[in-house]
Parts: sequence; C-alpha cells; structure tokens
Amino acid sequence: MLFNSIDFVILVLIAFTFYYVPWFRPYQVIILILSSFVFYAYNSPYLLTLLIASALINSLTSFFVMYYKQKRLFASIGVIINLLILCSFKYTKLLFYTFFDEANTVSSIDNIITSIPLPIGISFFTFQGISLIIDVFRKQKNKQYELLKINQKLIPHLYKSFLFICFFPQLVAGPIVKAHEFFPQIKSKYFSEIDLIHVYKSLVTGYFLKMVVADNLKDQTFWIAYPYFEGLSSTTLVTMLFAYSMQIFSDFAGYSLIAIGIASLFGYRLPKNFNFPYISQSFSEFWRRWHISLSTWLRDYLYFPLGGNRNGSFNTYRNLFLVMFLGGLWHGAAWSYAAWGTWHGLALAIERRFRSNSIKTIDNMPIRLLKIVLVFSFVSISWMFFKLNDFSHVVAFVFTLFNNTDLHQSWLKITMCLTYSLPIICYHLYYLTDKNTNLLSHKYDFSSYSFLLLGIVLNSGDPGDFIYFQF
Amino acid sequence: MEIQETLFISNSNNHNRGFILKSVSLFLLLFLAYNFSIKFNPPRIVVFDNQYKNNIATAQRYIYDYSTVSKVIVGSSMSAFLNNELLLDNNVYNLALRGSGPMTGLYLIKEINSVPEIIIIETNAILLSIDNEFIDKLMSPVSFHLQKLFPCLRPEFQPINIFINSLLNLSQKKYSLNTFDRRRFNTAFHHKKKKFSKSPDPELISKQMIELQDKIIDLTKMGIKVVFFEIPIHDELRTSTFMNKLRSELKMRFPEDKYTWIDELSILENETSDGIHLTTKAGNNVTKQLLKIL
Repeated sequence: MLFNSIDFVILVLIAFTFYYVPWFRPYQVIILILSSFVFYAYNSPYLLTLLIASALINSLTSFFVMYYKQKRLFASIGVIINLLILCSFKYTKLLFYTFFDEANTVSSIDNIITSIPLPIGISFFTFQGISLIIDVFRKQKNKQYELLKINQKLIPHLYKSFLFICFFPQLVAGPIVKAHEFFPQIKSKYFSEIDLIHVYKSLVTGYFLKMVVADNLKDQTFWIAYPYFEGLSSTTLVTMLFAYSMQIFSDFAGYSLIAIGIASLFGYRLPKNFNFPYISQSFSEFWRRWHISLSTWLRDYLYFPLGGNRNGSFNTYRNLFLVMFLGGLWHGAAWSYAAWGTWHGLALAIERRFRSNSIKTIDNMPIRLLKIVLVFSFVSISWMFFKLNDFSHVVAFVFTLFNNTDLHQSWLKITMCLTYSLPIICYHLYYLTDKNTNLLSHKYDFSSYSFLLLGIVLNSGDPGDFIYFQF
Repeated sequence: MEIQETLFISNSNNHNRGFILKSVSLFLLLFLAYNFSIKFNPPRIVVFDNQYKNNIATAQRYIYDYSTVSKVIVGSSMSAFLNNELLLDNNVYNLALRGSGPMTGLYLIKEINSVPEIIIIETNAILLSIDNEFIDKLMSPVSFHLQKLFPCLRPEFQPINIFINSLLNLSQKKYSLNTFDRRRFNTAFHHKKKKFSKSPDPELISKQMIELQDKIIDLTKMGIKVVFFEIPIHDELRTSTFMNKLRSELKMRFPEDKYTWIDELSILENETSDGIHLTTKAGNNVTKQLLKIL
C-alpha cells in the first residue's frame, strides 16, 4: 500500500477516527495494531503470518529475558532466530546461486529457491525485533534504558511489543526505531495533544519530496538502466547519476518525513532519519546525516559490541569494514550492495587513518566546499551499485561514461534532471550558508508550504514504489 | 520526550494554528488562479520530460479536445514521430502511445465512445498488449472528471512542463526530437537486430490477432473504416524474421482484397535513430506521404 494511494488515506482516516473517539481510548494500541495488519496484508495477505510470527517471537523472547534467569541464553536465541528468518527469506537465493551454478541446478530445487518470497519490510522489522531483545537485556546494567518498562504481565507486554514492531507508518521502510525510544511513548493519546503544525509540515514536505522530486526524477534516471545508457553522452550520464543521488535522497527522506508526520498524528515521535547528508565534509559525517536510524542501529548493536574503536587500529578498521559490509548487504540480496557497503567501509577506514595521523588541514570555505564536493561525488558514484545490480552493467556504465564524450548531449534530459534536483540543491545550500539566517521570515513561512502543496497537486510524477521498499 | 526537529521543518515558537489555515488558503488561491490561466489561455506544449506524461497528454488531448476528429492514427512510439501538427491540419489525430501500441489506442477510442470516420492502424507494434494500467489511470472516474473540470491538473499543463516549453520558445530553436547519430545508431541497432532476428511467439500472435479481429468487427459495425499501415523502418529490420512473420500473419487474417493497406511508405537508410524510430526529418516526409495517400 503506497503512502500516496487513496487506499492508504482511507486507512489512516478510519484509524484516526476510531483512535480518538473517547470510547475507544482504552483500545488505541489495538486499533493501531489492527491498522498495521491491514496495511501489511493489503498486497500479500499470507505474509502477514510472518510479521505476526516475528512480533510474537520477539515479544516472548524479550519477556523471558526480562523475567527469567538465563537472560543471555534467551537473548541469544531471540537474536539468532531473527537473523535466521531474515537470512532465509532474503539471502537464500543469493547464497545458493553464488555457490551453485544456476544452469546446472535441478529444476525442482530451482523452483523452490525462486519461490521464496521477499516479504516487504523484513529488514526493518527484524532489526526492530533485535533492538527490543537487546535493549531489554541491557536494561539491567544501562541507565539509558531506565524508561523502557516491561510489563509484568505477558499480554500487555505482547500488545506493546506488537505495536512497536508492526506500527504501520514505519513498518516497511523505517525510520528504524529502538525499543528504549518507543516504549516510553506507549500510553493514552489525546486529540488535543496532536502537534498539527508539525504533522502538516512533515506531510507536505514528505509528499513534495516523494511525489514531485523523486517520482519525476525516476522517469529521467530510468535511462541509467542497461542497455539504454549506452546511447547517451558522458555529460548526460553524469547528470543522471547526480539526479539519481537527488532522487534516492528525496524518495527516502520523503518517505521518512511522511512516516514521522503520520506517527505524530497518532501521538508517536519517530526519530529523525536525514539531516542534510549531501553537505557532509567527511564520510563519517555523511553517516551521521544519512539514514540516521540505520547507522545508529549498526553502531549500537553491531559496532560497539564488536569492540568499536577500543581494541587497537586493526580491530577498528576490521569492525568498520564488517559493519559497512553487512550494512550494505542489509540493503539488498545482491553482491552489488555488499560492494556498495564495502566501498563506504573503505572510505571510512582511509579517512580514519588520515585523521589519526593528526594531519593539520586548512579550514576555510573553499576547502570545506572541496570536501563537500569530494564526499558527494564519492557517494554519488557509489549509488551506481544501487541502480545497476549487475556488476557487468556497472563496468559497462563506467566504460560508457569515459567513452561517450563525443556524443550529442540530451539537453532535455539534462534540463529536467537539474530542474527537479533544484529544490534539494537549494535547501542544502540554504543550510550550508547560514543556518541562523532565514531566507523567509517566520511571518511568511506558511507561504512556502502553500507552494509545496501546489507542487504536489500540480506537478507530481507518475507514482512509483519507494526505493527502500525493496529492502 | 522532547520535540525533535525534523528535516526541513523550522520550529518557530511564533507559529499558531492559523498557520495551516493561511497556508491552505493561499494554496487554494494560487491553484484557482493557475487553473483560470490554463483554461482561458492554454499554453502550447510540444515537448514532455518523459514518456508517461507524453502518452497521458496525447490521450487526454484526444479525449477532451479532439475526439470528433474524422481520422485517427493508433500506434506505438514508431508512429509518434510523425508530424502531429501537419496531421491535425489535415484533420488527422495521432493517438500513438510510446511504449504502448495500437491496441491500447483502439481500446481507448471504444472506451470514450468516439466514432471517427477512419482509424489508421500501425501494424509494427500490433503484438503489444493493451496497457490496462495506463487506461485505468486515464479513465479513473474521479481523476477523469476532476481533470475535465480543472484542466490545470492534466500532466500536460504541469508548471515545469510549461516552463521548459517556454524556454524552448524563448530560445527560438526548433526542438529536434530525433536525429541520426552514427555511434548511437550502431549501439541501438545492434540490440534491435538481435530482437528482430527471432520469430514472434506463435501463441502471442494468435491471441493478438483474435483480439484485433474482434476490435475491427466492432469498429466496422459502427461504420468506421479501418486502414492498416506499416511505419517504414531500416531495411534490414523490415526484412527480418520477426517482421516477415508478423506481416504474413496480418495479411493472411486481414487480406488486401477485404481491407485497405498502405504499403507505399518508404525512407532512406539513415532516416532512423535506431533502426525503427524515424528521425524528425523522416517523420515529416512519411507524414506527407501518408497524407497524400489518405
């Protein structure tokens, strides 16, 4: 169910109506859980069983971790089950065809392998399940998790856990919420407490990014696919790659904002997921600004437990590589995603190495701009692995990039790419120049949202799936 | 939990609930003003930024503005490179849909109960099935009537589209959609040759022919004359296994003694950009040839 579909709007309206009727207040959590089930089951009803199973496993495991002895054992079992579910649905095909030749595979085995469905959002709700188990396990020794209260009775804990894992605004594409951030928010909600302006701004901005920027750019960057790119000039291809960077940002940041806005409608605050990532001056800064909920999850639940940067340089670099490799693979069951993650891991490791040498760098505006351009270029090039899953196509693309310098430019495609990228460029520049200087005084802030709304109504592109739905 | 600042959202303490009302009111004012200007002074849109908008505009122009035209061409991207303005001057509407085919065009004509005198069917892409998703989006009742009432909602009149076309008009450059480029041609032609070297799926041919026959019976009953034509393509592709088989199947089911066929259209060797899509210059020539015959 797409966020920009009429079916979704109807679902939200119905859920919202029942949610705030005083008579149904005791059942608010159940209303949200049922709405989430409808949302998830809408396109693939049979996969709802997987979601329910995952939520049940995580609820029970976290309860056992809290109130039973052998906490470490239960926590380990819970995490392993989550990873097994994720791997079996997501990575079986990849692993099988990596080690066995597709052409020589018996057709019955081949049929079984290819029939394994890829449940939408599995990467997201699995990570949330793991977060629940580990946060409860850490609760004993970590004051940070003081507010994470686990009900002594199983049923109420089940309800809260189900809500945490299945909550529909962030169920299929994040932001990934951590249990210790979400659980303290689960209580009765009142209509008067809704921050309507926050909801309005989040939704308008989110839908603008998705429907106007991302959906329109999608039709331009379509031509990056093989074999279409072979007939385009180098300049056109570079522009399209740049536009794809804008598209993937708008698509994902737009989705996150819509999720944040809708969650706010029901009284829940989801974490920020993007913070002007394309003005990053270093790769570590980029990962503090891009898909923040994933990078903090990987930091808290993988990097730190591996030792982080506490056990010497070699282990630090190893941990960085491993985290980025697995983070890349999390995005998709293809080695191109692992390559993407490794590419970033390499950049982080090299950057760390240079930083640890205490090389003094000049810090002025031109240098800062150069750093931004370098980081942005590196990141944009890495998006090739996202767009072209096949390695041979990536190689062909790079070859075409250097080879087609003498072809005629596709001026219409270039103009469209730059035009639809403009909102993203402008806002990053605005943030970059001076955060405290408002181009528009707050008195006229409302008018900018009027124009965003006008853009949504008048200039939306052909609706496409959110890119991150495939993960 | 403290209120978190989200991307693009400024949290000024001076905001109040009037914010949403002011914002929506201004939006409505701008929307109505824009619609007024489109309705009473519609801009001329020649270029579209993508295939989807191009198709929607082509179909919507036919539905809302040109459904009473006496002759209609239904086809694919191959027919799309004919000279539409020249055709319209001669009371012919080009309902060619890129990425789609004549079957979608025929279905659309039937959906809106249009009754032209002649329908000219491009046979090159006759095996492309009806694009039901496209038709559903186009004919969805709510959006259909909304766009009739508010023409500014039509993808053709999107602000960015108008802006791009204004830029083209200002530059006073005649925008050439398709030219011949040897390198680009060789790359694309190589792929096309591979595709056309295979015979079409017999089941698909049979299914499409039956569907086409049904459609033509319906059209003929309504008094509409049907004319078949083949867009001229590169000679190597025209005489390929695929095209030969398709042509023979069509002529067998729709023989020349019962149906009108236009066989005389021709182009020179370098008059396609990729072997099947006409250059703009060739499109003009083929249009003139077609009009002469019609």
